[in-house]
Amino acid sequence: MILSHPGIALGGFFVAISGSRNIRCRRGKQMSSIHIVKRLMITFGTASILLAACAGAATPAATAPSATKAPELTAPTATPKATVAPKATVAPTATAAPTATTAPTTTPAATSSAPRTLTVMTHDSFTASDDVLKAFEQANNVKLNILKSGDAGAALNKAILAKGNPLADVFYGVDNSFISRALEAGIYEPYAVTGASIPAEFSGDTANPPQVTAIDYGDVCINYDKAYFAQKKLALPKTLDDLGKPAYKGLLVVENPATSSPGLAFMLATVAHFGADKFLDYWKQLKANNIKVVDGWDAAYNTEFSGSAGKGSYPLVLSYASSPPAEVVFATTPLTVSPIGTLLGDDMCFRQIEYVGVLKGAKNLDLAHKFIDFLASAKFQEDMPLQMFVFPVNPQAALPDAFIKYAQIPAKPARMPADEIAKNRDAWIQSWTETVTH
Amino acid sequence: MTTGNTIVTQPDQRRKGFTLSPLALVVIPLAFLSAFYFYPIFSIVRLSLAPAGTLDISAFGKIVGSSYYLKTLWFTLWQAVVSTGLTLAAGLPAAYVFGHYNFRGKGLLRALSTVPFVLPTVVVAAAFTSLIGPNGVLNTLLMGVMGLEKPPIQLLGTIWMILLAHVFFNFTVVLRIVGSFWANLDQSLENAAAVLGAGRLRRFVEITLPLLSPAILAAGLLVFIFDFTSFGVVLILGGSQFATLEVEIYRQTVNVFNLPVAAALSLIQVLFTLLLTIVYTRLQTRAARPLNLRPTQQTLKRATTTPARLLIGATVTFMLLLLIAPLIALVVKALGDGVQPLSELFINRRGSYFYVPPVVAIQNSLLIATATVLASLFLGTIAASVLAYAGQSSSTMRIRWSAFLDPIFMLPLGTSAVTLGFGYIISLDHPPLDLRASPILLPIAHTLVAFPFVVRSLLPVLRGIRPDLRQSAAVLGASPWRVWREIDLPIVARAMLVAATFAFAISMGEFSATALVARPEFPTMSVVIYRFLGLPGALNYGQAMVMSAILMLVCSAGIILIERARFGDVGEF
Amino acid sequence: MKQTTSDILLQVSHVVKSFGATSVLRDVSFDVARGEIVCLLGPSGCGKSTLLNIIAGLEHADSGSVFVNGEDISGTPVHRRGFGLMFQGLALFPHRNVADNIAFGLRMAQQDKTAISQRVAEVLELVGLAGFEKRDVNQLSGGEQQRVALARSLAPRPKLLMLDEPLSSLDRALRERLMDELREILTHVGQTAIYVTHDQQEAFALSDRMVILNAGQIAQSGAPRDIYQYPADAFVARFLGQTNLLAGTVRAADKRLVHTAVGPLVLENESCNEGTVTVLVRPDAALINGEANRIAGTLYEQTFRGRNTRITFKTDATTLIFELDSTAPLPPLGSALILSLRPSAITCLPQTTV
Repeated sequence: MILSHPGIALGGFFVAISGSRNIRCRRGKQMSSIHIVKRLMITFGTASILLAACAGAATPAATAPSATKAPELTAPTATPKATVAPKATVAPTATAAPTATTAPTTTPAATSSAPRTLTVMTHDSFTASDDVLKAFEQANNVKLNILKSGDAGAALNKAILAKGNPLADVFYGVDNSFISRALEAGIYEPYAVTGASIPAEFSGDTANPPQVTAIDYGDVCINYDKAYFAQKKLALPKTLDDLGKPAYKGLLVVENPATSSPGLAFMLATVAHFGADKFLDYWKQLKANNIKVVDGWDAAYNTEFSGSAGKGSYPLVLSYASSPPAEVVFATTPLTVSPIGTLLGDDMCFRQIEYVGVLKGAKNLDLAHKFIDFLASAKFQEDMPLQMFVFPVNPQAALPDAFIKYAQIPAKPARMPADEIAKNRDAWIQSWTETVTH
Repeated sequence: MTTGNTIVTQPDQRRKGFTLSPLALVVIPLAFLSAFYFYPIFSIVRLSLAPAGTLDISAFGKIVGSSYYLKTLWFTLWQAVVSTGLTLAAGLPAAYVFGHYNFRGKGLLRALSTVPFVLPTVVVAAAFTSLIGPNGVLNTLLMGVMGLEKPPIQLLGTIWMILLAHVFFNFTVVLRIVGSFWANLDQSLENAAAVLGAGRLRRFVEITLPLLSPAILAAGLLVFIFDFTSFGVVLILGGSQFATLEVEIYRQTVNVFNLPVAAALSLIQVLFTLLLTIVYTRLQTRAARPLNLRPTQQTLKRATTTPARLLIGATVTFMLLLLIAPLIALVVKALGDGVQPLSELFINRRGSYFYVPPVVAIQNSLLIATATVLASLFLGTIAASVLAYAGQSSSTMRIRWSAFLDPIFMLPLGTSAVTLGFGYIISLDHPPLDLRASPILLPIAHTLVAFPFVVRSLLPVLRGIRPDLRQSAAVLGASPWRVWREIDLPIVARAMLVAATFAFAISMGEFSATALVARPEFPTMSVVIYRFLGLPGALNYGQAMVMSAILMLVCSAGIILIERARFGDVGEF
Repeated sequence: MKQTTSDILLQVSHVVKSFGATSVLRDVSFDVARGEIVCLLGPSGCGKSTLLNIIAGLEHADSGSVFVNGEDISGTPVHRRGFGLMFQGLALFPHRNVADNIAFGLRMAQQDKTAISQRVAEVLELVGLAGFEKRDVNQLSGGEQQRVALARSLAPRPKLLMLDEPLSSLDRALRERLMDELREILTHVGQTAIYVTHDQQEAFALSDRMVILNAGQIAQSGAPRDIYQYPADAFVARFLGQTNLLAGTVRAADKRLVHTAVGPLVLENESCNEGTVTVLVRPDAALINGEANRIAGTLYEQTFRGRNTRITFKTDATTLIFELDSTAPLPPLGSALILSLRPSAITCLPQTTV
């Protein structure tokens, strides 16, 4: 066997060559390495062709999921949502054409033209019902290209970096704790939503027309494990101060405001409640009471919280008011009562509002406007709760049963003006970090 | 370059051959790195540190002047040193056993040891929690047996957990790189030392260790860089009180959006990687010795003595406990809720626009992994060959050149993914490279991480091929193609398999590459897992666990398949 | 050679070893006396190296024992046996220079530094490499590496030095030179040694005594000259390059007369048993003008080799090879030729297996 040849040596600096032999060797080596490299080129030429084929295949494959989804669409739509089903059946493109002509559109050729592409940049948590988004696509002869760009913070920063040569037409998903960063960076093209009226309390900016439109809100609250509190016959904490009491020592897990958006929201709630000069004292108290701080919602809810499927060891977790209905909707065995509840004391929750806006330099302004109108419309707003577990801002949108039954909305969530957040956010996070995690 | 007069005597060859040095092929990997690494990094650093055109390095001053950042740097360093030491300590005995003995289930165990390398950190956290968490199997058992009030094992959220997880994730790097090298070491050197009166320990310290050092250094370097740039493990398993440079870069980039500080930290991290690799290259050059490497058929044998059997038993038990038990815990977790989470995977229950049939996720993952394997092998083989040939050259200029290139090739491993991702956003934004939102960026990003692994796996072996081997084959009448086929390929084939395994695992595990880009819908298995974990509810959690188990399965199958691959009639080396 | 028990350094007693289903050594026993050089000779795969490894302690016998000075050392680990072993592949430590390679065994014996460097210089001098201390072993020539390996195994003054085909990878000229030097070095220090080889020339040149192994068993042992002249069986004869073997019968009436296919052959002594025998005719047996044992045939081939001329001689029944004095007059090739075979150069093999 060739491999046992004693010449196979490791580390090749040991070829002692001298004088005339040197020249011979070098020529020989030169030759052989040319040939080796030639061989490499031939072999890897094939490899790179294969690679190119893969890369080429990647683009069509990207559409594959939706293609495979299509047949399944007709089957299950009837089951979960009877109300949308009729619209879904109107879907075929042939019938979509007349709809397009009825709309006061500037593109009369819409009947025959290929669909345009509207690119929407958003965070990883964005989701919606297939039929709802498809209906929009068909009504406007558009193909949505949805770019998931990391968590909310990462997506926003990417949008800011890409300013001037935007990655997308529409950007959805910045919330009130970060909206100021987006507004300061001037990434939006102003647009006033039409077809829906959204209460002023949700607005993200005061310009007219506004730069961004509120789409949804959610209350960041503390959830508790009902079984734990029942078993220990422990009373629920009613105020923020209660959480610092010995009875609740080592029971609460929260997210880090520096790395997590609910974490930041809760920290802002404590600032709103105690004031900028006092909130750190409160956190010192919590720290002394052995709260656990983790990096993100995943770890807090799935790994540490005892009320979730992860069966952790903390019966109190910083999550959302929408988590209790989610536990029912996503139960493995049908439930009539949610295994977890929400602490609703004053200022214990913080209201997060998410915004959408047209990106400056968008190539499809008309479609972007239509999409924002669509997001604010009752149809999308009614779809959101069970998809993203957030609340609609459009008062016209009806809440699904699960939310009415299992979600509790805090009477007085903490709130804070966006500009105040903008001014102090980083400093607060910094001092929080120094106080709590170091 | 060949001296002119030797070519003049052979005019025919000159016409047939290249006029360009074959080493010029290095432009291919360098072009790749320039386009997808240096250019984006340069762009983001320029934007961060010189937004107005003039360089402002006050961010460095801020870092050097801050006890917080210095503490972070110190923590990053020492935890990486300790983690690497522990990983080597845990991996070397196993590498010995895998390099000396054949036993039943060896291939499977080796494949399974790679699975941790692939699993998302969140999933591993879940596995560890269910195993050694306060309510985990082990603590429940111990509390029951010993009648304790409190769980005896309290590792989660401690530095021990970070160290343990680093060993868990990187064990396979040591096992593979050192194990395969060890299997090829000439046993007679140790025997010679024994006859000369050296006991077991002295033989190991004086003979085996120095001879193994190239492999140990290579594995150690890779593990160290992984630990040094650790992100998920520190955040998720360690908790918020721990921060490495990588974590701080992420915070500064994403949460605080303080690009100058983020860029400065990134540069510091890259600089450390660079320094370390330079030190490594020096040591490696000194450690490299010509060795009579043996084919494994000669060195691997079945255990015949009782101590050998005990050793194998102990190694297998250790690996089962460290690596396989968490994986089993994961599977148990996945099956814990019955078949419902599994069957739900195949139903678009909520009629979601983003529903991903598992088969599609598997396909996408495999497609990207295949592209990554091919691309990184292609680029890595060229790069490693050039380094090896340049290093063997008699010209000192070329040796210096290769000593300069080698650390360059390692840089992507030491670079923060989020920095690179932001670099992409601002640099790859005009044709022909407007790839910001292209799915092709995924295999490219994976290739950047896999490429250094390929180089490290191939280089020691390629360096070991002496030029006279090829020359003698050519003299014996082998055509250039045959020379490559008969000499280079058999020798490098095994290392290419190892490299392919790493590239595959790196791609399947995604590392932080998904955070890197703005992705259109091209969901891979990890994306699906993260999606499920992003929502409350037992069903989502169950589906995440089931999907993780599937990821494990697909990955093990892929690795076993790669390891079974044979290059024609070439045997295992 | 006669020995008293106190002269015996090593005793190998009934050693049996098999790897899986292949049995490599079947009941091997032999002794090595103090100061004696014993060659283990045999074809590849006959178990020589395994036997060496068992003596060194690198392998363990399935049964049987190894005694040193009458003490069973089967349980002593390799590094406590105090033997030297020069490996087939030399096994020089590539990460150590010449001096450090040679000093290794001395360091293991915990000698002090000055003693070590003195001894290193001494053995380097002995093997003719004085001044080579700082050289890189990887850059030495084959012969120099050989000497370093020898020096390394000699340095700690091992009770017993074992050499496993140490010269096999060298070219002929170098091998012959080193062979002589090796003999000189070993006898100079009075080294007890076991020398494993498959080359009978090496064995003849070096050994006081040869032990010939065949398929895991000792075929014959004894002084080189005795074995050459009186091989125990056809295997040994052939292995030593003696191919003129004839089948014959001996009658009780005259035990010095063997009836063979080339005719009746008269022997000098009564070495044959009655019945079927194997006769060995040594190559130097043939004379052109002799009287005894005249056989007829044709001169088929001849090769001039200086003092001797080697001829291939064909009879009706067989082909024989002889070496004739080059001064002897030979007819042209293909001519008929009558040769006479000296009775003193014909023996019966003790065992008849052919």
